Amino acid sequence: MGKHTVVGEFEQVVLLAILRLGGDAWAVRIRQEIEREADRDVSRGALYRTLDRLEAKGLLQWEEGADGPARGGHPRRVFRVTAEGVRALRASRATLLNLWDGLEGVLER
Amino acid sequence: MTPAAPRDPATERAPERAVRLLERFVPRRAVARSIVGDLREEQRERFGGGRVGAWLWFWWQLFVVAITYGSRRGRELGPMPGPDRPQGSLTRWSDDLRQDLRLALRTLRSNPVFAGAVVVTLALGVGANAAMFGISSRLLLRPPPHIEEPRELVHVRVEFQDREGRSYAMGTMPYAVIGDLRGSRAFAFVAGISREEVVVGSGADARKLPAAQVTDHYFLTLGTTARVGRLFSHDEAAPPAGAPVVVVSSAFWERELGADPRAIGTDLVVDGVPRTIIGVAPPGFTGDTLGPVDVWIPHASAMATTPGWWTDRYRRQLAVVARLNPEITPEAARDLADAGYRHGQEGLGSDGRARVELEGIVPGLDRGRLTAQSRVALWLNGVAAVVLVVAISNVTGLFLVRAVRRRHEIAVRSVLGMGTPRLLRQLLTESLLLCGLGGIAGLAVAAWGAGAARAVLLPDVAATADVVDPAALAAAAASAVLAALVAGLAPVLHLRGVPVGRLRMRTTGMGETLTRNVLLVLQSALTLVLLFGALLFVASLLRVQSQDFGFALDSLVLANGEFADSVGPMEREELYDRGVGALSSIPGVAEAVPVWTAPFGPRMAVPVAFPGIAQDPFEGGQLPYLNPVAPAYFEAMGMEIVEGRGLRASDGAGAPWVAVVSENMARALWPEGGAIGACLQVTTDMRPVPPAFAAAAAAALPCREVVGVVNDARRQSIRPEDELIVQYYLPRAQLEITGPSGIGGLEPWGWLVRLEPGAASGQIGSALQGLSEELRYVNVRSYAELLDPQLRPWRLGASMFTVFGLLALTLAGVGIYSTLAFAISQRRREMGIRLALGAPAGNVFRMVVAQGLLVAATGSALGALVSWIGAGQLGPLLFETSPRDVMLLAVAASILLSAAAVASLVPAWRATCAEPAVVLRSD
Repeated sequence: MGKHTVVGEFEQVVLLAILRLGGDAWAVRIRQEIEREADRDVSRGALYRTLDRLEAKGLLQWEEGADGPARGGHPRRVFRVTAEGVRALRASRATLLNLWDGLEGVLER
Repeated sequence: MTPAAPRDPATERAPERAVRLLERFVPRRAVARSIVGDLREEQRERFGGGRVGAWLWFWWQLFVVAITYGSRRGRELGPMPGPDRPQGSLTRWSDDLRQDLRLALRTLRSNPVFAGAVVVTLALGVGANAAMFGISSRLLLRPPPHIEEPRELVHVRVEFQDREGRSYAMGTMPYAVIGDLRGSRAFAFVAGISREEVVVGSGADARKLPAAQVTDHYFLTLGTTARVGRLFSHDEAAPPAGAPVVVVSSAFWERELGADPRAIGTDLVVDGVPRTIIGVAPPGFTGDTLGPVDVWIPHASAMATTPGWWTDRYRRQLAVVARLNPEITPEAARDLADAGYRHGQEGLGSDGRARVELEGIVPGLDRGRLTAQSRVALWLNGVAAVVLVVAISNVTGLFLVRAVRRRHEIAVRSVLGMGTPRLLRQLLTESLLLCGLGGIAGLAVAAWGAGAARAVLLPDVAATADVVDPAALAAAAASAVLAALVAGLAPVLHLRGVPVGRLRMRTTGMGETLTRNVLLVLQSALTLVLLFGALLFVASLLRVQSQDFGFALDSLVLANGEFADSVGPMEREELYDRGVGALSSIPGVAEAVPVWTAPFGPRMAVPVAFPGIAQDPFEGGQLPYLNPVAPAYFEAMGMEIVEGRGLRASDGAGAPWVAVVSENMARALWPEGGAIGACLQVTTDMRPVPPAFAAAAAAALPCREVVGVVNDARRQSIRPEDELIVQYYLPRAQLEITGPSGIGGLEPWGWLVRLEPGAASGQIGSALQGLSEELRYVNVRSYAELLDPQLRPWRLGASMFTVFGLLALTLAGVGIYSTLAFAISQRRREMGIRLALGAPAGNVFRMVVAQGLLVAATGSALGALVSWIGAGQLGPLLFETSPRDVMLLAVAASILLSAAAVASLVPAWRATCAEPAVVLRSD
């Protein structure tokens, strides 16, 4: 497990949101997805920094997508989770599930 | 890809600018562009709620993202893939600043009492200073409003020399001289103005308003244009008669004409003459000086009934203002004007020692040109500066206290590698932030205080002239920054050079304690000086007001009227008698008499001889004042007959002639007594007598027998030492005056009314106004109002010194309190040990209070010394009060000491509450 990159909680949320959006993930949609599904406010600055960080860790890739008139001719970055990213998510989930084991009695009160 | 709506180029440029801005913070251009694209996309959805709001939202979000990228936390993540970009120093700087600001805000929030004390203290100091500075700059440094190129404008004066070589300036000139100056090529324009009050309206509606008569070219010289309508044309204002027109002030137009443009073309009755309103002057316009003007009329139209007035060279009525000829130097202009003036004076027998002088219309700080008003304003500027010094030293003390409290934190920071420059910057950021807040609050204080200060200080300056101006703003900003630098740097200087090991100890070093105590002593000393000044002025004011004027000042009212020219002398006499009847029927009026002369009103003096007594019995050959009076005069005045009898109704024209003299007069003429029965020969015929007959004429004057001596009464000054008042009273019925030209007459000046205690003077005006249609205006003033202008210097000194003194006292109290409170919190351990070892709480309490008192006492001693040395400056401004009055000094010191004691009480009480066990355990 040690060789997997550790991802933080918000990073997981972002990665999961991208996976859920499929091939249609750019920043505006990612934010909306998190706000809708995770029911939390996301500051744009934090989201961009996190996307950059995940990219730097090699968990994300992006390519320039179409620019629409709505974007004033500015390109959109369409994100895709890399294989490394998926592995990191799995590892995180496994870690959490291990830790959850046997605690149902305590937590489900 | 074509947009649905036509694009606004301005909004299209914005995204490019946004990309450039973001690129400074976001390392990769593609990322920056995509972020801008994202924001644009979301912004479009917000256009429904208004485009402006959507754009504001866009820029705000962009700013937030940029800040997030710029923050250190962002950079800690290490280099980004993609082309390397050097971190801009701007980024680092803004990052540090942000951090400093955040830290500063956090420390402020965590200590609201400290922050509040600093802001309030500075607000008071800065506010007082900015208000006073605004007033001084209004008086001395700025031109009156609505004047074009004020630097080209000059007042023209003529300086004369008398035979002893003393020079005196004449500020007013005849119209003919304006013509001479216009012919001189010195000026582009020359005009004259005469300020006075006029009666506006008629009947019960009539009121006196400030007005100005101006010559042709006046508004042209100043470069002023009308707000509504127009100003005078050349023909309306030029000799011989001008036109019956009037321009009103903006204030008058708004106040009395409802700001109605249709008022232009209607008539306004000014001094009984209907005039057509042709225009409204711009708001706040007061001409070439600052006195308020409600009504502008052409000088020519006011002079229309005086034939040839524009060639008269003796009627000096007009102050002259001129615009310099831009083609020549001011020196050359002066010489040309001088030549022009001399040319005009040729053949008038003037001695050639007169000189034309030009003075810029902005007075500046030229010592010789300061008016009494400006002097007072400068004095108060000085006093306000003292308050500011007190405020700054107080704030510095507060910062020092806090720096010591934060030693631990600062030590940790420096151990973690924060260098001195960085530390300095952080402390300065904090002090700048706080002092900035103080400065802003100070401006609010200034805006509020300036209104009050102007009402007291500048009653002669139009209220529309703004007082809080850029200069006052600059003064406020400068004082706030000064405070920030001093307050921010002082702790750094103390902390610098202290070894880190010592920084960790939470005790006070000798250095700060000394500095803080010196600051407190300084504050106390300055406060004492201000308090002492306030007491001196209050004592002066009380002594002035409680003087015995020799008559019943409090209950007396003087009324006088202005009759239309068409009312003849006989009619007037009759109207005055009817006036007495009307006044007597008002409830609350105890007595009403017509008066010809009155204290602080008109006076009269004629040559008088005393058979058997040397020619010049009074000081300096002065003539005694003659008062023609009605029989009930003394009673109405509340004067006391000291010897003999007063005047009676039976002392009529046919009865033996009698006189009553004042005590001073009796004492000067008949020091041994025996005034009663003496003879006065009063010259009532002023026609020239050939010298050969003069002695005979004097000897032939009939005797007026002195039948009584009345107490001395003040004539015209509230300073008794200004004159030796010698006066006598003759029954009006036994007096006819013939003037030098043979025309005589003695018309009453007005009415004197004595009110019952507690009665109001409200009905007097309307009762008199009802006498006649020909009575244009009635002026009713109590003696309190009449004396007010003379009381103003003391009232001003008393009120302003008191305000500033109390301000300083409050600040010094806060200073003592905060310093002691801090010292106690530092010494809780010591207090705890003392109490544990059995020291009575009373001892600890007394010890702390004694500390506060010691500081105040040292300050008092220093302040007393300063007052003693500076007393000479204040002496001439006081009334029968020594500037070295020991009693008052003691009172001031005891006020200061009491305040110090009060300020020490809470810290002292806290000290006694130190629970030994708790305190000792806590360390």
